Amino acid sequence: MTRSALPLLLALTTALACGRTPRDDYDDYLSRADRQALDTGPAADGASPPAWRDVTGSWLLQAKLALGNSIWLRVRMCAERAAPTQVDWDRCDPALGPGPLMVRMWLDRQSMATDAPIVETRTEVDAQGRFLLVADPLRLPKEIIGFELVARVEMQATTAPGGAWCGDATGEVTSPPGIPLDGSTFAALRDPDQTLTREDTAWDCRGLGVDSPDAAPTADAAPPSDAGPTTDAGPTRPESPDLGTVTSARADLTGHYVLTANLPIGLPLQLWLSLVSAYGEAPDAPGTLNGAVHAITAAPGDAALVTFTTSLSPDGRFEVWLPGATLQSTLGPVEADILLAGATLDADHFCGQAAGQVVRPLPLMLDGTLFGAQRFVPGQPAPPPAEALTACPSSP
Amino acid sequence: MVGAALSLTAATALASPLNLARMDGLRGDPVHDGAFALYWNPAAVARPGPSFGLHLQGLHREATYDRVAAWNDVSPDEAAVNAGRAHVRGLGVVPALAFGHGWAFGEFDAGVAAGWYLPLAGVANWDKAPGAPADAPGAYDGPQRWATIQSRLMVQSASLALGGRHRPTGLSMGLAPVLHLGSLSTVRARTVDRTDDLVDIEGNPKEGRLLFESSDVAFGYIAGLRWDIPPALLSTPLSLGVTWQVVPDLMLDGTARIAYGTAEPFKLSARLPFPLADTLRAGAALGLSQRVTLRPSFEWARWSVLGRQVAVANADDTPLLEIERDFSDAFGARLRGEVRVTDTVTLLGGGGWDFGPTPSRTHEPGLAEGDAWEAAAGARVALNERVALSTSLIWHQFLDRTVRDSVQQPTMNGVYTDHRRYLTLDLEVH
Repeated sequence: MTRSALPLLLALTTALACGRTPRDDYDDYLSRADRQALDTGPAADGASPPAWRDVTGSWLLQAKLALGNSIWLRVRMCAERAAPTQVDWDRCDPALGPGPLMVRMWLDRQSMATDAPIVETRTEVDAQGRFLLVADPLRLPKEIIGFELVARVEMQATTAPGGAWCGDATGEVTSPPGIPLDGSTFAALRDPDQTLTREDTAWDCRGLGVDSPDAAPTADAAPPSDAGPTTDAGPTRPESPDLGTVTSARADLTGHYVLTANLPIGLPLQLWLSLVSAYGEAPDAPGTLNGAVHAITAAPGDAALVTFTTSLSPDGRFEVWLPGATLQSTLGPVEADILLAGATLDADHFCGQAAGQVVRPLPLMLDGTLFGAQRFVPGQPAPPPAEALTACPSSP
Repeated sequence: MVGAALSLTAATALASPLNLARMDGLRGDPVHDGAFALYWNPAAVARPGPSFGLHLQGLHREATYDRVAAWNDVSPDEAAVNAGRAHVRGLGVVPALAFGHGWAFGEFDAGVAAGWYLPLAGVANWDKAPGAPADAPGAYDGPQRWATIQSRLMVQSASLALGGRHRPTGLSMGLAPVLHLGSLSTVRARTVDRTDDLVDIEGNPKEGRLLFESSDVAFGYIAGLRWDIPPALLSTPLSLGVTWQVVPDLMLDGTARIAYGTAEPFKLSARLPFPLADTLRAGAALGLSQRVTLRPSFEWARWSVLGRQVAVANADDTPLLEIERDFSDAFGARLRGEVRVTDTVTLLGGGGWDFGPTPSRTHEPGLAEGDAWEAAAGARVALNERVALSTSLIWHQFLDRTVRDSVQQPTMNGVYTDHRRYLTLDLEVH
């Protein structure tokens, strides 16, 4: 009570002293310097040069992986106390200038208060407000992006005006191998009360209205691709894989098959193929193969992802060229230019090799990809990839 | 830091920086016997009958600081924003109130008094520099901004005094517990490395601001002895008084708002230990005749307690601001006199000298006071047997000071001038 009475008493005793207060001078300076106090909200400008800003506190980070998937992480950064790595996470001391910070990360669905962080690391913020966050390992459970991912991720961040930071991410995915991270971007917004939602976030610096230090891709730009240029004439059909070592025999393939392929990056891909085959009566007459490709999770009655018609060789070999196909995979939608070269093993099995490329969500050459297919009953569980035919028996 | 900027009305009545205690004007000393005895000497509250005192003090301060570029390593291209003459001028009004009552018990008198007053305060708002270069946003606050831009320090006190007197011997004693409410608000320019650099090596703005707002509550006391020497012992009227004022060390706790360079401003909980000087006062009232009384007084303030001020973050004691003080004890002496020219009118006058506590090397535009002299004149009019009105005008002139050995960071070498004037008005009922 005594302290609350102070302002009144001070007002009485300094009635003629002056009307301005030290706080007024402080605020005026920030105004002249085009700055804004932290406790009055973030600044709105986006053109300030990179500079150190205190990034301690809690953040909601969105990262846009090169795969095209977004992940959301909660990040808490606190200044070290007396000794390196010594941090009071509850109090979360602010930084007084450039220097080391301790960092913890959680999935956005987790509680920062009760759940163990998925990453704990240390970073050093320089005088220009830049810092490198290394998440090694970063483990994402399967339900986050459709498969379990283990990676070493390096996020090169820069602090932005208005109380945010952002940048580009690189690194290496150790499991499953082959997934590129270069080209991934991220942005983090201060979220002291964990009230922000995914819709509030941006995934790159431009989404925050600032330039990325390393020219991050724009929010609406296509992810980087190694797939090479495409033309208005459409993708070029790749050379046919050589199935000369595979024994193929004419058989009626009419029916439903589960096709299982192991993509070069180690990811299994399963599709449901509905086929209708027809041969001429002569033993050496070629045939026709009509097909429809469904997602493996599709139910009878669902529309096909793509349909095709191709020819069958007298010994049951065929090639299916699917330029610009959009398939549903465990990675989500896949845009690809796929050439399937198949050989009929018997009336219940066929196999082969793929060529072409995946364009989205990640650039991926399919050359050398093997596949196998076996009959199954739509609407019933497909055999898991590990138990399914995934290649021709005679394939090397 | 913080304490740093307490200047404007930071007046010294006697030898204590920031001392605003001038209750009852030129009669304010250890032999004061009015209602404000609860501050000057609680022993004197033991006077039969009621007493009341209302005090108003108007004060004016004008000071300058010329920050000499060459003495502070200010480069020529930054001289326009980091050197030159700064000026502060301010007015203030300080009230105080006291009342009491005393009773006679045979050979003894006893009394009690209560009151509210400001023993210490300083408000300084240095002039802006509207002509400063626009490309240096900090320059508008003047070249003294590295020590202070504006500060407000207030220590308000509420006191209840008890006193007793043995009338035959004239000996009396008293004690006044005091509740102090302290508050400090101050802002200054600041860089991370305590320099006065405007930009860093990459050309990014480096100057920032530090604002500290804080308060504290603490208890102290004033103990006093007084001897009104009986006529049987001395035919010349003589009263002696001595007081020991214990002021607690304030632990000003509050919020620091900091904006370094282009970094995002932030705030944090912080505290500033602010030791205040205990003070010994002694005085006398010697009646040279029925009309003329001399009132010599002496004061010693233990300002050596103020060595180095460090404001720290409450979270981890990180230093936010370090100010060298290295004060020495302060001394002051006064010789005042009264001449009763009529039955109702008394003229007052006097002068004195203060040995200030601030050494040259730690002098800066904020909390710093060197040696000073004082001259004063006033009058007291008895409106009737119980009511008197008095006024006084006090000129307090600090010696100009040239500092070339500053240890402050950044250095505050330069030339300082400071003078203050006080006009007191007191209504006394007894």
